[in-house]
Amino acid sequence: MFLPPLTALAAEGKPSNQDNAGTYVTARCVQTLDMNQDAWFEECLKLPNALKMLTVKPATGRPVAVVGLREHIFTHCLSSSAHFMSQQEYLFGTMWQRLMASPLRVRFHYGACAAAAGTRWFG
Amino acid sequence: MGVRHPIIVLGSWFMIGSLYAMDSYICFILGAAVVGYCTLRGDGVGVVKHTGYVKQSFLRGVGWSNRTPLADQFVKKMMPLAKTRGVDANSVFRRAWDQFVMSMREQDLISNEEQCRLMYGDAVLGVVNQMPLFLYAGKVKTLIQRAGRVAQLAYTCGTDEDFIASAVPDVATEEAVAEIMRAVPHLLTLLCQSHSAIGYADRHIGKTIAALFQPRPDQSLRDMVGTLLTADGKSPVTALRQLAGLIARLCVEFERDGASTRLRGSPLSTLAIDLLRRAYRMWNPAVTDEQIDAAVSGTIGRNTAIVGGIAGVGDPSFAGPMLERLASMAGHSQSTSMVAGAAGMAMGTVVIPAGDGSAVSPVELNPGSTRHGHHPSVIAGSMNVALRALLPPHLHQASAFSGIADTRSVLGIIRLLQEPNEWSGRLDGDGEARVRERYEALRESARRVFYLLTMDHADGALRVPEAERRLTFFINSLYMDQLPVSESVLEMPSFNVVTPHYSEAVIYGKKDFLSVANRQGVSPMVYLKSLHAHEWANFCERLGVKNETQAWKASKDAQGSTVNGEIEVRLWASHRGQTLAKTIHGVMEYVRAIRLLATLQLEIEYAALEDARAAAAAAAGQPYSRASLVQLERDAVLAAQWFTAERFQYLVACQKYFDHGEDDVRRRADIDFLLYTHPLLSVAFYENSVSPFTAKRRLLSVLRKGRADRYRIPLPGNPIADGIGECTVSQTGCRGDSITVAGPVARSTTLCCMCVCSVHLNVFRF
Repeated sequence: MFLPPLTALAAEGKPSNQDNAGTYVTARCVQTLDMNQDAWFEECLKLPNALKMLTVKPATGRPVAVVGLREHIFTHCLSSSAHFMSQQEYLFGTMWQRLMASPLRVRFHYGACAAAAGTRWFG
Repeated sequence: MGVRHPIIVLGSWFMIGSLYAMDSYICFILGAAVVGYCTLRGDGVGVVKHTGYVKQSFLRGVGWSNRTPLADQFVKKMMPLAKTRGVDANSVFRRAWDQFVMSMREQDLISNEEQCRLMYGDAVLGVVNQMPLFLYAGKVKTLIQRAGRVAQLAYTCGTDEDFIASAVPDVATEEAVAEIMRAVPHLLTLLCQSHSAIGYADRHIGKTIAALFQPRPDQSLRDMVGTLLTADGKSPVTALRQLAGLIARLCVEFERDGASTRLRGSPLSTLAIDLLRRAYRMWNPAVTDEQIDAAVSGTIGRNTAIVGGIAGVGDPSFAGPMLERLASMAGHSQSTSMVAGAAGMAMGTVVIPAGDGSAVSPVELNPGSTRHGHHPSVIAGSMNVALRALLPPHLHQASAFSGIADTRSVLGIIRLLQEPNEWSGRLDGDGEARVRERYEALRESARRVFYLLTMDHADGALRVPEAERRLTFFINSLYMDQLPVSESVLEMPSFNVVTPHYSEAVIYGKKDFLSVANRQGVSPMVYLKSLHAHEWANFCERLGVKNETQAWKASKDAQGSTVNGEIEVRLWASHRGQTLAKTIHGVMEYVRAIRLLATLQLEIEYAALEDARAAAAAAAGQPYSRASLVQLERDAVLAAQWFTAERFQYLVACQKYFDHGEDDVRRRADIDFLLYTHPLLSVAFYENSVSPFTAKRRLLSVLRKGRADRYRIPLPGNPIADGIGECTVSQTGCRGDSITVAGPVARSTTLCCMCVCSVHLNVFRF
């Protein structure tokens, strides 16, 4: 059987880079953010409240594994099409995801949100 | 038209038919929109639509069902302990809110003015503010009008009941006036104090001011408004005697210093004349208005009447040459000399009232060093602001006022107290901590008085839409029921944030990006500046510069602290683009937020603990010395810092960090800069280097924090350029011992099995 030499390209750079970071994750809850995302002080104040969703099992239903947060498109002021796109994103993040979660029960998550044992993801 | 009318029947069938004919997807979309909208409204998304709601939220709340004021809502959601312990919600919320406003200022979303308006602010002269400043907008203006009417009543037939009925519109007005009344005498005293460096010597002025205003924490509105009119319970005549005496003294003092014609027509001169007029009328009720006018304008020979008036009502020590000189001044150009007299208020010994405003202790500050430059106008300007608040409205309409723009008076106070200049340097730079501390407090106080007097809209409107969005979004989300209640931030599970990064911009460079013009001659900097014009203006204000050229070269900001202008401009631009600096700066706000919440929580808990200990000691009959509040707060801050560092970490996975060390040094330096400035930030990357021990290529997984590598974990394989083995999955256990490494073998891919051996080898070889 042919075995590739150790110098073989065995994984893509991007996922392995993120895996590498995963090595150093020591927390119970993890938030994944893309490079072009942002956070604000007043939103950070609500972090303990948001983490409650992950740590406290709801009275009905299964425990929550992933909490999705809506995105704010800060480039909305650049052009009218950018404004339209940000409005669309706003509706997607607020109205559409609520609908998918509540009556339809088919809520999906986006981004690197793999749930590992003992670690809850938050993205 | 009945329901069986053919048009209605056809219309109904048309709608049903067209719905049937439509694609089911369209039906789904329509249905989803309706259901989604209802869910949205039910959840309370978008209740706070604009900043007009901000005021409402502070006063009575904006929720659908609960009408809790914002501060109480914050405590309810974030810190229920405060409520059970009976801690005032405002005292907790104000610190979070102020930090929020400050964070917006740091990002140049709001100007200094907007910041001051939005913030609760520090306790001024020992009194904690109950609301952010903008909620007091317009209150003082209304009161001045009312006070004018009340003043008329007070002189003629006013009773206490009338006075209260007409002078107390609401609590906010009372607080606003209380603050001004507390601050004004201190400011006047400060101005005298600062002017003492010029060489005046009069230790009565501070006492006179204190006697006139008599600030007391428990003063009611009536007392305050009445202070000017009745001088603390004394008759109006006494009050006016004092004031007129003050003004007369000022005139004389200033005459000694030489008159300044630049001050002609200032409100203060109008005040002085008005006071003299009233004093004269009270001294001699038989005199007519025409006679007084003639006396004041100096048309009756040599102003004997006015001099007589002052002699009659004023301080006995005023007799003699002072009055003669006053008379001669009043004789030729009363306006100038009166105004000049106002500037002459800046005189005398340094007088620093103690915290309660009662004790007055004179401190000499460098007397007789220099004569004045331009500052008497500044002093008079700032006094204008202070005194104008206390003037009856008909004086506002006097022509003398129209010549003075508000800005100038305002700039008087602000420039004098806010900006470090040669004079404030002398004021606060003499090494006496008590003086400096007091000076800082008064500076803050002056700023607030200025806004109290000038603000006339209370909606908290901001110039930058992004700031408005953040404000409204925060308030809105606090009122949403979906936000779970967090009993204590201390119960928060540990929390990491992970962000991958390849080779995107970190901080925009000057020469390689920001200043590079395109074919139309427009550089990104020009574009950003025009796109965020207000934010650029705020940035310039923060840095204390006028244009971009100065900003690049700035070495000190407006507050006088050392900055690097180039870094500041680059960061400003980077925070308005899709850069790593923006993301890191944003996520690092978690540190501040968690630390603040933990501090607040711990303060309450420590106080509770202290109470319990004291109670236990009392029950046991033992003496117990309680820890002071300051001590508890210091403990809480320290503990909160430890807590934050323990629970939070930010990981950036920089794919090319090591490569940047060779091919893109500047980008790596930028990442390093961010690492240095954010202590809880770490960067994870692969290092593909030659081992100094074995002289072979090796692959390491490195975690770098601050300036040092925290972990350097050897990985199996002999890496090629991009080759990072599948075996990376095995690092989960690679925390330095080779036993747990075997864990991931459970995945049992061929490659991994192979790698595990080499992991062991690597560990021993390294």
